[in-house]
Amino acid sequence: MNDSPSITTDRLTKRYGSNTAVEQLDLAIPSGAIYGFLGPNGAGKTTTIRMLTTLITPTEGTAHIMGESITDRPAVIPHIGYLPEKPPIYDELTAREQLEYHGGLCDMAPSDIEDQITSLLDRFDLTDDADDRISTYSKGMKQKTGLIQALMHRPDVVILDEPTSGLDPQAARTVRDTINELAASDTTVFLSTHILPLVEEVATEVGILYDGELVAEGPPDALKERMETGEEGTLEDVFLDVTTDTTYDGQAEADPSGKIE
Amino acid sequence: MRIWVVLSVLQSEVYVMDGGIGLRHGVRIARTEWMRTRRQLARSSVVRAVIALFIIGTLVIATSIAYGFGAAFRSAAITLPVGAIRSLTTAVFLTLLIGFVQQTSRLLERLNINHLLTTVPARAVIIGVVLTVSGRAAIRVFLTASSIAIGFSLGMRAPLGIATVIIAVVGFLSLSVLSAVALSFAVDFLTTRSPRFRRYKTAFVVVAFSLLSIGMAVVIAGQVSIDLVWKWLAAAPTAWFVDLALVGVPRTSPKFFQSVGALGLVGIGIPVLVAATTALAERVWETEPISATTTHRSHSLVGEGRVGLVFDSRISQPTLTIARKRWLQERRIPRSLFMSGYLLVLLLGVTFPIFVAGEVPGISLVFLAFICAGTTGLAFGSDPIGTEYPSLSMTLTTVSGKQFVRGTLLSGIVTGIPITAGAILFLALWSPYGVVETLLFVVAGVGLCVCSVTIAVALGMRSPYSDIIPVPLPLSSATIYSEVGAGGFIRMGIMLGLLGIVCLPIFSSYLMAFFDLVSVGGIPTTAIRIGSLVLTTALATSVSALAYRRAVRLYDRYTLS
Repeated sequence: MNDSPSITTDRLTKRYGSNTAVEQLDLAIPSGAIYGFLGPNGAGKTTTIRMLTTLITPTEGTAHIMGESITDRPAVIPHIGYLPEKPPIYDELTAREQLEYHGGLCDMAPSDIEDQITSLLDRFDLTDDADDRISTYSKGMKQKTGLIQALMHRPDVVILDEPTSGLDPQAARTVRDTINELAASDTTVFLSTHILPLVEEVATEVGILYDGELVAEGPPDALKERMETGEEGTLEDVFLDVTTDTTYDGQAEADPSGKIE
Repeated sequence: MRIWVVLSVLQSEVYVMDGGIGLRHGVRIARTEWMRTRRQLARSSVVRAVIALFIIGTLVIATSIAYGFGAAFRSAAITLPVGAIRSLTTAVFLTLLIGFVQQTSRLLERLNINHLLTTVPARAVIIGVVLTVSGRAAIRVFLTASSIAIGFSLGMRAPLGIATVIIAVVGFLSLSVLSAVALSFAVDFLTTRSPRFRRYKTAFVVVAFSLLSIGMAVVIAGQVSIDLVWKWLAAAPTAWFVDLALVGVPRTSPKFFQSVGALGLVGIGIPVLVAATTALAERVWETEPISATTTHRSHSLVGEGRVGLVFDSRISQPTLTIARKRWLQERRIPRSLFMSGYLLVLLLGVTFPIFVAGEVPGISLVFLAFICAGTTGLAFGSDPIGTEYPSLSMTLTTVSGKQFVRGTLLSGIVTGIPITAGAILFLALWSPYGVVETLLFVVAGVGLCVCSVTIAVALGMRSPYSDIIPVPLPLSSATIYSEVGAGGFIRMGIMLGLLGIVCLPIFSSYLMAFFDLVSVGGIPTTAIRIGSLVLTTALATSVSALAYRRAVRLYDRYTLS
C-alpha cells in the first residue's frame, strides 16, 4: 500500500435545497487501500460516490482523485472504474459487445480488450453466456458484467457500489478475491456495501457515514477496539452503535459529531 | 341464434359471473393509472387550475355556439350539413382509433402485468385497460360532444335530441375504445407469434404513412376527386351514428336503417370486441414471445470489420466505438425509424408540387433535403441522454465531450448522408436542373444533415437526467429511455425551427422558381437559386460549428443531479 492518497476530500458537502445529503466530509485514502464505505440507507453514500465520480457537483468543499479535482471530469475519468448500484449496461447488447464497447471507449488496444474480456469472463464464469443478450441475463449475471466493465481498463481507483448484490456465494467469493488482488497491485478500492462481513474481511480502512456525516473511521480492528465491543464484537456492532439514535438499553445515542479516530 | 347465445355467454363471463369483482378491480387499476400519469406529469396546482378553466371555458363556448346553431336551425336560417357530418364522423373514428391504439400500447407497457395477473383475474386487467384508455381521452371527447348536443338540442328546443345524441356518442366512443384495445392486443399477439412481423412492424408503419402522404398529395393535386373520398367516408358504418344521434332532432331526416344499424353495431360489436380482446389478451399474456432475432451472437464494436477498415486510421477509437454502438442499438431497436415518422407528414411538400408541375420542381428537392436531414437529426441526435441513459454513468466517466459528440455525429451522418444524397440525386433525375445545380443541392443536403445532427445533440444535451424515464417504443415491444413531458417536443420544435431557418434561402428561391418568376430585382432566378444553395451550405456549416462547441461543453458539464 502506497501512502500517497489516491482519494482525498476536504469538507465535501452536497445540499439539495434545505436538505443536506453529505456534510463536510474529509477523507484521505491511500493508494492500494480497500476503503469500506458504510452507512444506513439514505446516509449519503451514493451522493458521495457520485461526487467522487464527477457525476454530480459538490455544493461546497473539494475532492481529488489521483490528484485531479473532481470538477475536472476529463482529468479524473482515466483514473476511475465505477460500478453503480445498477450496472450501467445495455439490455440490447451482449456482454461481449458491452465490454468491447467499454474497452473501445477507454481507447484500449483491440488485442488488450480481447485478452481482458477473455480473462475476466473466465474468472467470473460468464464465458458461456457472453454472446447472449444482456436482456436474457439474471440479476447476478448483469452484476458480473458491470463489475468486469469497471475493472477491465485497469483503473487506478475502483469505486464499487454494492458489488456483490445479487451474486451467488461463489461469485461473491470471486469478487472478494478480485478486490484483494486489486489492492495488492496498488489499485485503490472504494467499496460501498451493506454486507458488513465483506467489509470486515477485505477492508483495510472503514468509514461509516450517518446522516451525511462521517461518524466513525479507521481500520476495522481498531474501530472494534475503540468502540469497546470486545473480542467477540463485530463490525456490525460498531455500525449499529454509531448509526442508531438510541442504544439497546435506551441510553443516549452516539454523538454523530464525535468522530472516532 | 347460436351466435347470440355464444356472445351472451362470453359477455356474461366477462362482466356478470365474477359478481362485479372484475369491474371493481378494473376501476381500481384505472384509478391508479390515472394517478400515476398525474404524478408523472407533476403539474402544479396553478397549471391544473388553468387546464380545468380552459376545459370548462371550451365546454361553455362549445355549448353556446351549438345553442346558436340549434336556434338558427330551428328558425330555418341554416340547414344541417348531414353528409359532411357523416364523413367527419368516420374521419374522427379513424383518428380516435389510432390515438387509442397508441394509448393502449403505451399503457400495456407501463402496467406491471405479472403483478396484476397474479393478483386479480385477467378480465379485471382488461377492464382496467379499457377504463384507463376511456378515461384519458374518451371523457374529454364525451364531454365536448355532450355539451354540443345539449347546446344544440336546447337551441332546437328538442330535449329528446340530448338523449339520442348522448346515446350515439356513448356508443360511438365505446366502439372506438374497444376496437382500439382489441386492435392493440391483436398487434401484440402477432408480435409474440411472428418474428417477421415483430421485426418489421415499425417499417410497416413508416411505409403506410408514406403511402398515406402520397395518397393525400394525389387528392390535393386533384388527381382523385375529394368528393369521392368524402363519399367513401360517409358510406362507412361508423357514419350511421350520425343518423342515430339525429333520431331525436326534429326537422332532420335520419335514415331508419342506418339508425338501427348503429344500435346493431353497438349490440353486436361490443360483445364481439370484448370476447376478442379477452381471447387475445389471454393468449398474449400466456404465450412466451418468440424472439425476433437471434439473441446469442455478438458483433464486434472494436477492431477491424467494414467500419474499422474505413474509419480506423482517421477517427479515434472512442469516437468510433460510440458510433458503432449506436448503429448496433439501432439495428436491434429501430428507434430512429420511428422518429422518421414525425417528419413523414412533410412528404406532402415533396409529392404535391410534383403532381402539380408534372416534373420534379426544386421546391420538392428542398422539402426532401429538409426531411432527410431533419430525420437524421431527430433519429441520431435528438435524445443523446435517453439513448445513453442505462449506461450514462459509465459513458460520462469514460469518454470526453469531444469523443462523445463526434461519435454521435458520426453515427448520424454516416447513416443520413448517403440517404440524403441518394434521394436528392434520384429525384433530381426528373428535375429540369443541370449537373452543377444538382451537385450543389447534394452538397447543401449533406451540410443540412450535419447541421441537423449537431443542433439536435446540442439541444438534447440539455435534457435533465431526472426527467428521463423508461417508455415503450411505440409499435414495438421494446422499451427505450426518453424524456418525460413537453421538454423533448419543445427541443424537437426548436431543432426543426433552426434547421428551417438554415433552409430559408433555398426555400425562398425555389418557391420563386416554382411560381415561374424569371428574375427578382433584375437578378435571374438561376443565379438566385445557385446563390441560395451556397448560402444555405455556408449557414449550415457555421451553425454546425457553433452547435458542436455547445454540445461538447454541455456534455463535459453534464451531471446526474
